[in-house]
Amino acid sequence: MEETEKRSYRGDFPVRDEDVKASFKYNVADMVGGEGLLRCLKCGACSGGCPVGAVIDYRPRKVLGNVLLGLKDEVLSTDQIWLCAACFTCEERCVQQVNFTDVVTVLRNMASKEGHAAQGYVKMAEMVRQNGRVSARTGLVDKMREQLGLPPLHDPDITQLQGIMKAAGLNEVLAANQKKEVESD
Amino acid sequence: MKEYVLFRGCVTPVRLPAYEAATIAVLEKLGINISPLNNTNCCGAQYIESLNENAFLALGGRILALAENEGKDILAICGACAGSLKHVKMLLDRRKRARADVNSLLDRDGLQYTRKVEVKHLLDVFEQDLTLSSLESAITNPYTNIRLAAHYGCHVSRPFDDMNSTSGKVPTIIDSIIRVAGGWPVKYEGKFRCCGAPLLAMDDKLASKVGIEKIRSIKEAGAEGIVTACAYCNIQLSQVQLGGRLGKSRMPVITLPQFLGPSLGILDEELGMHMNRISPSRILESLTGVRY
Repeated sequence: MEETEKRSYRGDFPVRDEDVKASFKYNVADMVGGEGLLRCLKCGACSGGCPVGAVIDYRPRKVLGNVLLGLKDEVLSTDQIWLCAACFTCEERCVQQVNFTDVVTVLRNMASKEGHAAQGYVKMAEMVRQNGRVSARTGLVDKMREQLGLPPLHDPDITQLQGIMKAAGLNEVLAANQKKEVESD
Repeated sequence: MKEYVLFRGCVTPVRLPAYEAATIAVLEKLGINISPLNNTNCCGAQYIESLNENAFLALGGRILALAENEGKDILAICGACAGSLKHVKMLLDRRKRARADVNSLLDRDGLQYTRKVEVKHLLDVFEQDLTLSSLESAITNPYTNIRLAAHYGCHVSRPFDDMNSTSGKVPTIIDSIIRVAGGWPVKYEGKFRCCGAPLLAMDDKLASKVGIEKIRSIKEAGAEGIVTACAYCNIQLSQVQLGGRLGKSRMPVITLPQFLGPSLGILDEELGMHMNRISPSRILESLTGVRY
């Protein structure tokens, strides 16, 4: 194992009353996927099996602890919710069916609404919004497919798709996160 | 004869078309009919899912509805696609309101999702539609003396439940197929651990670290190759070996149908063997019988 890296999410600071939003955990638990949060015993089975935790100092239990404590800003504006690989190992191990991966999805949706989505994710989502897919086809790809006897790839009906994504509310979320990029420049 | 529409996804047809070709060739050989599902979009796994769950459900719902129009169940061969389509289906099937919301978005393009279509990953097809004994009798060129590591892929197999054909146990189907084809499946530490690919959008160094740990552990177990069932895993486990951090000896990474194909007498060209980033010749040399 390589030397562990320090990440800002560890929150090595005194917790102040004004940073605690007592209702935060209930807001998360009210969302589809967040229901398991309040069952968490903080036993740490999730951290023990985490593949990200095996190479850097990342602990799902710590993230859950921060949410349960009500550290809303700390949770929603830092890397901690974006470093999960969504491998479901912790969900498999959890004795309380907290479903950490689903809780993380709820938290990411909340963070994104506030303009705190990880930039790598925004870039990929923007690509889907523009092209309907994450990998662009090229002339080389067409040639490889022909060689393999596969049918050529056609792009999906992009106007139809963009209409669906817009109506679902994706554009607002992307706009909220683009603004952030401009501000930080 | 069982029929499926193949949902190719984003990554497989562009970055790993050999996996797509090998899947079709192997399944057709085993009596399963595959036709393409056209006009499809990205399933939205991970990226759209993390930013806006509504859009994610709509994108998944659109794919499910397109397959219903074809009247066939969906076969997905990428872990992210199979996992997310199963997840979307479960959410839409259980929640009437979410289903109505998605259908109102799809309605203006004349699409509807009615809960009829089923989503299967390639491994589900091996578990549910085929038997190991029928597979065994189709093998004409068994492998011999080759030690291989099965890598299942998180979104292919988790949760370990009936939705993923594992009935609450750890998956064993790739190991069984390796054995039936004449190879020796090896046990290794961290067998069900992530390949690191989902971390690529966040921190590619971190993603590589997770992948390299996996390769190290597979090497320690004495394997001579890795068999995968997900496009993302396959690409990730290959590319982490090209960065020079693991020394010169590279372990071939091969998709399950590419592994199985030659033992069923399918030509290497049809399986796109020459397109693999790490040559699988070490594995292919262990085939027995007259080839071609």
